[in-house]
Amino acid sequence: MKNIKNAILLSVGLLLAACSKNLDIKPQGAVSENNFWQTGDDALLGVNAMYEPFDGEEFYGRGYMWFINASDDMVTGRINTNADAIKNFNRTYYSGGYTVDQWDMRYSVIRRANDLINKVPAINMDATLKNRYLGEAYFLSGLMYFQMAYNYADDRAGLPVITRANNNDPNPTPRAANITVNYNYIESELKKAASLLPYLGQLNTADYGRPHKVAAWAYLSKLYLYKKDYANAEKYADSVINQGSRSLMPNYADVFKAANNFGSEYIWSAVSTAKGSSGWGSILPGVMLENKGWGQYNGWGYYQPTKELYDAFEQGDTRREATILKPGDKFMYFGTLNTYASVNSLSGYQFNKYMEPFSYANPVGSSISPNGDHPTTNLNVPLMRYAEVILIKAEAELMQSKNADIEINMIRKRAGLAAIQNATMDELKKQRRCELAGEWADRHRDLVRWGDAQATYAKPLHGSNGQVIWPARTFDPSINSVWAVPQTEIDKSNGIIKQNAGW
Amino acid sequence: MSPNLSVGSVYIGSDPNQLNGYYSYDRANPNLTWAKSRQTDVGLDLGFLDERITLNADYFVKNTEDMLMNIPAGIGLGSVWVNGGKVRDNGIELSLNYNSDPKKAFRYGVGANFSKLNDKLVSLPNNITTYGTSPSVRGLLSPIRTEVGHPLYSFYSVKTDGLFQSQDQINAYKGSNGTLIQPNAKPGDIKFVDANGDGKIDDNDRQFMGSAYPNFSYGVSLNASYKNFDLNIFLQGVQGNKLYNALKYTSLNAGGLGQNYNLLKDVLNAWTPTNTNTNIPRVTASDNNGNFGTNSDFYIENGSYMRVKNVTLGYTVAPRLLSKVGISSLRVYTTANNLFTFTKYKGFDPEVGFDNYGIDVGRYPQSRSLIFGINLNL
Repeated sequence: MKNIKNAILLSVGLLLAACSKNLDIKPQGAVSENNFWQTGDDALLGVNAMYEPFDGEEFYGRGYMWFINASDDMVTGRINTNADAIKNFNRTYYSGGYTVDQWDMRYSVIRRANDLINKVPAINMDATLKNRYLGEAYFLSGLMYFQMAYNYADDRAGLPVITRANNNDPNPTPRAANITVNYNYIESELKKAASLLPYLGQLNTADYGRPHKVAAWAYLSKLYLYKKDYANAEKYADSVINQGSRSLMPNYADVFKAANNFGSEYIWSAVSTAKGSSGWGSILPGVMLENKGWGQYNGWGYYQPTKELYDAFEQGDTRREATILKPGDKFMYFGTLNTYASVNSLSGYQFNKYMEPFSYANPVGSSISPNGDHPTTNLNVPLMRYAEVILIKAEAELMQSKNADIEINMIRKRAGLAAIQNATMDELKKQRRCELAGEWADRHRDLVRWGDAQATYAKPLHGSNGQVIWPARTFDPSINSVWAVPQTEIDKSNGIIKQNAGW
Repeated sequence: MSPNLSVGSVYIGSDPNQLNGYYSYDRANPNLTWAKSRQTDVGLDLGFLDERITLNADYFVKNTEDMLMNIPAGIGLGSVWVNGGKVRDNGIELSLNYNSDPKKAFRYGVGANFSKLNDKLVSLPNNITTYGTSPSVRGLLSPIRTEVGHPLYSFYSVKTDGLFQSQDQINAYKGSNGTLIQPNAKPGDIKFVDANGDGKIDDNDRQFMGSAYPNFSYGVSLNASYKNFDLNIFLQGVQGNKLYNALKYTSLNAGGLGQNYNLLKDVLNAWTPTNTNTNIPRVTASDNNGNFGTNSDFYIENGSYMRVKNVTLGYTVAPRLLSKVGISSLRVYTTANNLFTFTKYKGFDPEVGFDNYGIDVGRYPQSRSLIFGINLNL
């Protein structure tokens, strides 16, 4: 018999996975800079890429809403030290966290716009489309710089301007001398956009959500308002008004319905959808929803309105109930009539503006995102709407000592309030606050530019039961009028980009 | 060399449709060349007593020029490959082995190895002095910095100086202009060092605080046999490295991520007016002083450890007892892995290595295992 040897091993072994070596072969058909920008189809792909960052959680979801949350209209509704540091103007906030990507995301749009403006003119393609594509690039470039400029730049330091010529230069670009340099650049970008873009009515509905001429004018009017060039602010607001296609919706609450995403009041918004596995667009409605959504959906419970905001509305102002849910209010939620009561909102209130998508039965996947960790809805969150243009015009008039009663009373009338005469800046401030609460119009920026922030923030904030929910804060206008540059940008630039003074 | 374009998806339209977009995120560099490196080795191999004692020693210096570096391509972009880093590595490796007389019944061997590696960034292209971005702890703390003149991937953090024990100490901690350096502090909060003396604590107060590179690492193996018994012990360790114990951020911080639950038991030792002899700051749902929100050496700990990695004890049954039942050999053994660890490190497991450059966000610890085995040959 043959002596067969069997080896039996009874032990637990460790399996080492072999390393696979990457082969230095380029995949066939891959698209690179070398074979792109050849056709009109390429140009459209390049245009679309500019919108890609808008799905970011911190773009039109939270992001600058953290800064708007510094206002007296709202508080962070739950425990979160990083969020508290932002609201309290505490410098521990800026090394990381929620606001660290605010520059990078916007500059990524600017880089793509620059590439497009560098490459598309040489493409042989339909001239009308070429103009539209270039117009989209100028518009988004201007808008991104504008959103950063008023938050981070002032007379002492501007933003880095990445020109078309230095778009491929890896060396860091220093900050421009001051905000005026930026505002002039933005003005030129938006004017080019306005000259190239079609009117909204000339776009196919499949292209709604792309910029149009009137949106460029509207942002020009806001730019001039912030720049304190009131004559031009009024002029461009008039351009929007006189073009005639935009109007206030008769009923304020209808502005915040998905069916009216592109209604008569629309000028520019964050296109959003519940489609796909995680939705796409602004997550703000889910971020403002009750934390854990009363067991039905992953609401995040941030940004809850204060008693200060609630009390700012006049008796009979129909906007108040459309804007705020208070304890005891009836509202539809997941197809049933509920009575509002919060389990965990710090203020005891909740914003009501963005609740329509949550009102229907079985909304998940149809009007709200299937992914509660990315809670988008089918409601486009307004970024610029006609009512704001009316208010920009009114403010520009008042600042030029003109009468603004026509515009103020348009807003008051729609809100169910009686007309007034000889409206003052106090009235303008109240209307701007009540009309645009919880929107990107930016109450915090308004308080800063009106010079009201220091006094306002020196008062504590209250909840629905009248208790103090946020102590008084110290706002130093010489430091806190602009936010701190994200530390990563300073580090990545090897210190060439400087921090704002005092932060 | 031109990197592929990135693809993103967007939704546009009154009834939004998904569309693709292409964009150039990582940038091309047409002038890229190979890196050049020059290495010098000096080695020594010695053997004594019929090679029962051996010593191997190696020393090397490696200078790399035009090193390929993936640097940020600019704000709003990904990265670009460039030539230009200059790095000097040098190191020493020693191993010493001794085996006892093989003719005796009790035989043993001892082996030890030791290695020390230094690397230093000598220069970067375009006269820049730092490069790269840091991996972060939940997007909040970014401690890693690579700067000319320092080891690659060093920790760069604000230095701490204990806890404030009283309001008087906070009030006495003033800048040269007389204002409080930490106005938001309360007793039990961390005192940070105002390294640049500007009267406030911020990222300009960061300093280099070592790195996850050890001063040296070592291993010792012992094996012995006496008659039918055999024993193997393997120890291994590193000395002089630092680790960033970011588990503290998530597990001692009562307000950090909006969750004041699932904290480590150590939080019971947090500062209170009656528990002052501690380095864990007071428990608070807000973090106005930035105890946890500041990238500081509160997180940096000594990562040195020595670990009894493996112990095996075996017994081989004599062949003459087995041949009658048709078995040619039989050994029974038991092995213990990760039996003991000697360390001062407070995280789950000091064997973080260079993963994440030594930032330990609560890596799952290695288990201690006991194995019993039979090795049977027919």
